[in-house]
Amino acid sequence: MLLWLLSLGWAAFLAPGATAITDRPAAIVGDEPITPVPLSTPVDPDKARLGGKLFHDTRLSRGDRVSCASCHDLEAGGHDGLARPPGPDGQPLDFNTPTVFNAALNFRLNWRGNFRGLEEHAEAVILDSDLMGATWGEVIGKLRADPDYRRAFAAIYGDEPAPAHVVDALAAFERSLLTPNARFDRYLRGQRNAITPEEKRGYELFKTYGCIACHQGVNVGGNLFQRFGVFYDPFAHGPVTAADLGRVTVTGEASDRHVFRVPSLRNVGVTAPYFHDGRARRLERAIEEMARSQLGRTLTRQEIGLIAKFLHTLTGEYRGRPLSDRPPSDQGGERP
Amino acid sequence: MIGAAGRMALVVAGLLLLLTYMLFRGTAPDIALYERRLDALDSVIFSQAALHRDVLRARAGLLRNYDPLVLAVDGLREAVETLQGLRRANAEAVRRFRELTEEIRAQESLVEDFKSSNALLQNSLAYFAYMSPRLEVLARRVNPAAAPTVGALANAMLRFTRDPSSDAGAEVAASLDRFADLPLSGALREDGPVLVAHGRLILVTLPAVDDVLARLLAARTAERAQALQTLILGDYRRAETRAKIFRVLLYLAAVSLLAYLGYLYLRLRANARVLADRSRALQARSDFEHLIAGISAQFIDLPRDQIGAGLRQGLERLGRHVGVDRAYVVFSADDDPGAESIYGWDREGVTPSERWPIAVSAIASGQRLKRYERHGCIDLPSVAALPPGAERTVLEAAGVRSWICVPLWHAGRRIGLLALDGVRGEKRWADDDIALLRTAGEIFANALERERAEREKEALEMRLRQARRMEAIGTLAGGIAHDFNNILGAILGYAEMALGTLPKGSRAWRHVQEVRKAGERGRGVVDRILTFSRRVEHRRRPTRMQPVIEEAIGLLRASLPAAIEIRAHIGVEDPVVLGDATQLQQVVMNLVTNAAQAMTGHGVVEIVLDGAAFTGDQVLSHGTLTAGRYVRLAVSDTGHGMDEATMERIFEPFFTTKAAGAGTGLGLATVHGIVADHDGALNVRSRPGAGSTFEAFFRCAEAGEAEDRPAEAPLPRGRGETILLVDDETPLVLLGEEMLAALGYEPVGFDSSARALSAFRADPQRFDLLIVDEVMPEMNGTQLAAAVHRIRPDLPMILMTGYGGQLEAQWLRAVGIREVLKKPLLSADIANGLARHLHSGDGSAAASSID
Repeated sequence: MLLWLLSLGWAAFLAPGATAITDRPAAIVGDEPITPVPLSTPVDPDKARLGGKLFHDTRLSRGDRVSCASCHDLEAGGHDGLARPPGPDGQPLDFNTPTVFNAALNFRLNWRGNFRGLEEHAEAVILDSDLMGATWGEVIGKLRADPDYRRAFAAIYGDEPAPAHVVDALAAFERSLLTPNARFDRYLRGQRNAITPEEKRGYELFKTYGCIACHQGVNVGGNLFQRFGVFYDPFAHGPVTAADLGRVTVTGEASDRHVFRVPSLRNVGVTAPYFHDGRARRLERAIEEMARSQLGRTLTRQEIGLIAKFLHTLTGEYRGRPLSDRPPSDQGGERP
Repeated sequence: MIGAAGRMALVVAGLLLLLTYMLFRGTAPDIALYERRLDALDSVIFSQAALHRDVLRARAGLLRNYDPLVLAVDGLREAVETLQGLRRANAEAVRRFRELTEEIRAQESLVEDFKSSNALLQNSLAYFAYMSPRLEVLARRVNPAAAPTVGALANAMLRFTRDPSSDAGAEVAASLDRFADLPLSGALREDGPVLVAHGRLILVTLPAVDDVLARLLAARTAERAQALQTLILGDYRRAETRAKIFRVLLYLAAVSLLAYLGYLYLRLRANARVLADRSRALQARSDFEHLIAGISAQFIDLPRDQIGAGLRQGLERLGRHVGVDRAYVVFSADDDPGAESIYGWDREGVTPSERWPIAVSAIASGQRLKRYERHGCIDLPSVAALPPGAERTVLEAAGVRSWICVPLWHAGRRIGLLALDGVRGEKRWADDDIALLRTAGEIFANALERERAEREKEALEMRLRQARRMEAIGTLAGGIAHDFNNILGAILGYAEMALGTLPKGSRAWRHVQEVRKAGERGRGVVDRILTFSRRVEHRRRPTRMQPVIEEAIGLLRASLPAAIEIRAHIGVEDPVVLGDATQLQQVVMNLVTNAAQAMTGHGVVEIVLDGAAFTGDQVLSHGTLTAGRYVRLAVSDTGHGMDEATMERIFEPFFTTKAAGAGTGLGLATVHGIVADHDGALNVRSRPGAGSTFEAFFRCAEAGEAEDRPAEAPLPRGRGETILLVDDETPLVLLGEEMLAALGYEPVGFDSSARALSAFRADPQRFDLLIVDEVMPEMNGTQLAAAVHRIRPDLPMILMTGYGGQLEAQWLRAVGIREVLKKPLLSADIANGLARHLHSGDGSAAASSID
């Protein structure tokens, strides 16, 4: 008995250390402002499996029109590749679709940061008439009619399908959608030659020119708000849309005008087009735009190229496979 | 009823409510919940500290990313989420929690501002730090006039970044303006405006960031969290104390309910026991009644001879049923203390007590146990509780530990008792049981009375039969005897005549002599038959019984074997009966002789003479007495006794149990005749092996008759005259000698005629009178008398004879007999006879006596 207690105590003593070892690799290069994506995530696999099924299930939408995966294509960058997806009326919606990959690492969700948790966000998407346009009654009715779902929900929640369980499962699935093992992460973990000297040079520029001021942390952004257009007004050449107003439409604070959540640059190389309205189709264009409006600089083509090269090293793996780009196209327009 | 049920339901509901309330209040405060809250507050303090550290580091440019800030803010938010439950806590906690929440929300907002501003600031500072020296160098080379301005700007900026509050800000602004106004060329034209833009941004942002920072650091979040912690801890302690109190109350309630339950259980058990007892008692009563009814039924139509057995059986059933160890009925015989009938039952293993029930009668009728009477019964549940005394001694001696005695009554007369002994334990009686016991007593009393009544009826019938038979026998025997008497008279007469004619001593004379003797004996027998059949007339006169008995005893003592003892108990009273002294004496003689013969050579014959008075008719074994005063003569022996059949015929003539020839069978028949003649009756009590008691009752003489009685004259006494006494039976000679000596004579006795005659021849003048027994071997009385008469004719002679028969008077005179006295001799007869012939000298008396 005493021995058993001792071993338990020893295990408890060891456990945090072990966790520390896996979560915080011993050889992170220097004191870099960017940290690698965790190689594993503590997610209930059953919930994640159920969430994955729900994620791909059109029954979560009105008229079984679309599923989450319709816009968040996990085969691509977890996004739809469109500047702005079309709404039910066929007109493009206000905002560009952010990738679902590593969304769990963002401190707020969406461009305006109007959601804190994956759960509330999932519910909002399902109920939003512009997006999936369903009602809980409708969705739950459909799920309860499905014996497989009944079984799965019963096994996990000991209950019939219910809104809280649906969003919980979806959130669990989204938390599993991390893309670790990007080349840059490997570099950070001490693999010196994981990135090329050019790419390293791009990283240096990224830091020197101040991109790093906002795009830092594990998600290379996604952890603060910032005004779009510090040194230069990106909205000077056209009409300002409601989406362009940014966070002010959420908080009502005048100081939040044109303030957006700083987006994560993880997988940025495969998630074009860019910016809240998808205004930049190419990465180089986005880098140029950022340098000008946020840093007050005009970068050379070479500099932009180097930084772009660096940004491509941030593309991680999902299910052991690096995310692949999807040729920028207007295919999305053909989608319902 | 509904009201009671409603009340009960209310009480139960109230109790349930109270208990639930106490359980709810008694639940220990959820320590996990409190710990979660305290942990959350700890987390607030920790996150706050981390936040302060990280913003400072971020401001200093040491923190390269904002993830830690996000983490810290998330920590604060999570803590607030955890603490949401506090909204339901007391007002103080709610207020403090709300303050804390507000503060944290404000902090988060500050942190967001900080991050955004600081990102710009840091970027611009980095740019400025990187670019200004470079520009300065560049300026010196391409645009020397601008170089000092650039240097001044760098310096001002350096001072400003070190102390934003100073007027360095204004200087930076001025430098920037100057630098911006400079005509720049080459690379400077490109980078200069950027530097200015960053410089201006720093100028604006740095104080703003520092202000945010100051506000962040000024936040009292940690202190508030600590205060809240103290509050929650206090709450927890109070809640726990309160819960403890309620737990104690709950425990007390449980204990009281348990006690009440126990009390109910005990009451229930007590009630059940009472019910069971009551039902048992009812059952027992019913069983008892059933038993009594059964006993009662048992006696219905029970033949008389089975009543005793039935009684014993009934007693056993009763005794076993009520659980006593002895049960018995003592049935007192009428006016006869010593003759109780006892019917009893003893439990196996309980020592039977033979004499005990007899002793019971005595103590039951005593006065000392009166106070233990219950419903007319003497109830002694515990003999040990009795005060010391005779009763307790007697009861304890019989081993009785508890005792109940039910007197038995019949026709208002106490006829006995029913008693139950507890020997092995004490027994207490309920009133109802005593009543049933009395019923049982009545059943027994009735049975006994019935038995007695039937027995008496049978006895009466038997007496009647007996009396008729006796009468028939008497008539028959009397008739025959009368005829025989005449025949015997002829035989005797002719024998006398023949004797007169035949030569004396001749062979024929002797034969005729024998014929005459046989005739004499026959006359004796006939005489007795006549007595039995009451054909003989006797003079009746008041006769004192005492002297009659005393004389008879005197005679009997001489005649009975010495081993037979005679004990006489003569009552103080001297009873007088109207009768014939000789016959009365014969009764005594015969009864005693019979008694003596019943005993084989030795034993005790008890003679009791006393009085008895009867208020009603008395049925005796042989005869019936009417009411009146009687003299009772009781003769008891310790002999072989007799059975009922013998007893019934005992007074019949010729009925004898003796061997043939040993007796005539007329002794008791004579007694019967005499007693009947005297209007008396006989009662015989006997059991085989236990001796017999013959009682003869004679009516006491009436007062008038008693007065007729002649004054008792003193017996005439002799003056020393010498009397020659001859009898072949030596005891009678001795008896006679004593009597004569007592009367003042000088007796000379002989048991042989021959020797008496030779003594007389030797000195004829020596004697003044001769008393001779008639029946003697060799020479009978008259022969001796004749011989003496020839020698001395003047000598008065008295003949004794045991027979009532008549001797030839002429013959007697011829041989000189002056008087014949009947045997047995009575002192009075002898005294009177002697006096007549010795002192009067008057021969008329003699003549008259020999009629």
